[in-house]
Amino acid sequence: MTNSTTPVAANASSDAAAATAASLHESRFSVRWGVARVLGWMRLPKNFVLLGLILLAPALILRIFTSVYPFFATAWTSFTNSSAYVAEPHFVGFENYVAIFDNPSSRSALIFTITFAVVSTALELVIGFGLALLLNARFRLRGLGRALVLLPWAIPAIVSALGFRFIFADGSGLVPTFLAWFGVDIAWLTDPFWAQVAVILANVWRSVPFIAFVVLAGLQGVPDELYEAARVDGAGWWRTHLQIVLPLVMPVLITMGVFMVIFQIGTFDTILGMTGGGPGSATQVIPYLAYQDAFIGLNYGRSSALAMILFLIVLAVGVIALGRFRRAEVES
Amino acid sequence: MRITATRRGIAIGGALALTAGTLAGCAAGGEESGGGVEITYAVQAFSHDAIRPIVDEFTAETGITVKLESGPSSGADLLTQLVPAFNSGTSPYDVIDADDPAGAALVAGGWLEPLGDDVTGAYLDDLSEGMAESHELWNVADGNTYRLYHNYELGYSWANEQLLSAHGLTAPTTWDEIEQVGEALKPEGIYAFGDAASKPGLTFVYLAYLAAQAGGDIYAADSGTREAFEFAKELIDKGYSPKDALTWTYDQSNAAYMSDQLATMRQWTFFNDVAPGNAEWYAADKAVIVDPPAGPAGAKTWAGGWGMAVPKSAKNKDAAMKFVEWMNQPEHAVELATASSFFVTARTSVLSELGDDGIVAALKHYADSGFIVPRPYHPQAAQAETIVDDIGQSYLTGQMDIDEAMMQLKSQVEALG
Repeated sequence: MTNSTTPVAANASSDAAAATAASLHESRFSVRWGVARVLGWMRLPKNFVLLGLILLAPALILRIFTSVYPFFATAWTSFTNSSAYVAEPHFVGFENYVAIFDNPSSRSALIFTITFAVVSTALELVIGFGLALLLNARFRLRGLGRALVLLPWAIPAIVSALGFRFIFADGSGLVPTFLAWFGVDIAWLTDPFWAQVAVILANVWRSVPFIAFVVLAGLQGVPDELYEAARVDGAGWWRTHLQIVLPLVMPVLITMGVFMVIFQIGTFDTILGMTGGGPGSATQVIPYLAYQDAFIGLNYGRSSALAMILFLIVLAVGVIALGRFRRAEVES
Repeated sequence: MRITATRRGIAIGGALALTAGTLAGCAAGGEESGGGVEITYAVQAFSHDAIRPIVDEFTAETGITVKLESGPSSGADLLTQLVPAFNSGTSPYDVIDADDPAGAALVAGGWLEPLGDDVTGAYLDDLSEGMAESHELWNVADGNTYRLYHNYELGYSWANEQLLSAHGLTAPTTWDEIEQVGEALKPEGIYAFGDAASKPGLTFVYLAYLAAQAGGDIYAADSGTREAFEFAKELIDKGYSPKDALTWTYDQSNAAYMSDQLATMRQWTFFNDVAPGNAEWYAADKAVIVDPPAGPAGAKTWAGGWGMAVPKSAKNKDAAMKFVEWMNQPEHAVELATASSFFVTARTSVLSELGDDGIVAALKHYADSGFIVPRPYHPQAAQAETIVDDIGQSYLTGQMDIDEAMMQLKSQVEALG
């Protein structure tokens, strides 16, 4: 077997290596770094480039057909009157977008989508951090405790949502029955405000274990010496955790916060299983509305417009969060 | 080993892969089996065993083989599955089974083949009055018939007469009587009336039922619709009907009825099988079909159904037409109704042959009494029904008042065009 890479590498190495070496001084993924890489590739032998392209092709084709094409198809559909009732859809400009913002149900869905994601994430971070501290403590059967805590995350969202539908069911549900013993009478799923609270609580219950375990991993990276030093300096439990542990796991919490906000903006199954967006449109979120428009109302144009709005929200959150991260990284 | 990749090599490899793929696709697309014509009929799987012997009779008579495929259990699923295929000029099925909203969508999209007079003749002559009205509204467009009902479902009024008589009451026959019964049973923690009304879909079913009794056109948000909405809210506010029914599925309303929390309810035909299945609770006088309560426009309930249609892009249209014609002959309609409740209709032949007992007797009584009105029609029914769901629930849970509900309903339905 001949070593075909040696001459190739030799030919390319002088220029490409120089470009690569220069790029080491740049931060990764900067424009100059990218240009240097491309210039390096351009000086490679044609057969080598071709082989590279062939090897990349399956992944590229898969990506194009599963992400790029659907994205542009959805974007295009959002500007048409496509529906099951129209044999030949045509371009309607921003009509679908205008209809969405004209509709009070869509507007309230937009507000609740953001409320749902932000409130859920805040609660999940606080409870998840507390749970992680508990799981990080030494106690008997800690392994079993950790496994049990993880259970909600392992249950499919639609299954837990259907469970919560019965747990919160007015009159017969576990929660209303329990609260009734204390004289508290709440119509969880038929009162618009409490229905919103119920879906957020169900979502938090399911997501907290995930946060707790990621934060737990962060806590385990805090050196014991720091706890010891704090103790020697006379810091109590509260001060140690507030002033030493919390700042150390803060990057994990911020990362998880951004991830969970983006992830939960797309929540659909909890709403579908628990309330169907009701009562009225109180727990309607954009992903569920898009589903309802596409698969119940059969209005593909409007559904695609909702999907694009959702994409823009996620994009905005993502860009803002990444910008903040980058700044924090530079500052640190 | 030296790997070389040339443009020619890649081109030849690509061409070979495409050819292989195309040939494999062709091999899977055969139309016929065993030398005769084979058609595919997509109908809900639970009915296959019951109708198979009758379908085999058709094959014996005509030589056309019929493959039964599992059709989607909802019209929306049917459209999601079939519209992309129809758009590309193909159809996996020669005969499909569609509910009213899906049928209307398929007609509006121009995806169904008109059924000729030879196919529809015997069927049309056999329709009872109420069913003929539904057929005209939902299956006919521009003078062409596109679908023939083999199923005709309506919401019956079920009354627990044992429970009512234990409290010295009888089944309510009017809206006023529902309130009287409600007042009498309220101290016992029993509701006079209930109907599952969760989203999606069931809120529309319930409100359209009340709108029929009020003589309203629900999509016009007229005075009858307003009365129906107000009555529904009054029942909830006064505690005669459970508010949590707005989150119930039909299983939950059945459970509430069979645990004696509801004295009466509106429910589809299937409760006729569910009730006796609960042997511990069941007694004949606990699940009695009574007349629907009369609102301002009288005792009414709406009916809709599933019907057979032939897609424009069906592969074997002639054989498909022959099949639809044969299956809808009066004698076969009776055979089918005997075999499966999914094939029970208010056709004259079915009512006269089977109308002496069971659910068909109730259907005959409702049909003869003029209780049945068609499902509220809208050419974009699926979307229109979703609007009723949203606005109806918003009103019933106090998120909007009646004026705003009617205004929103009217304007949003009008916006559909």
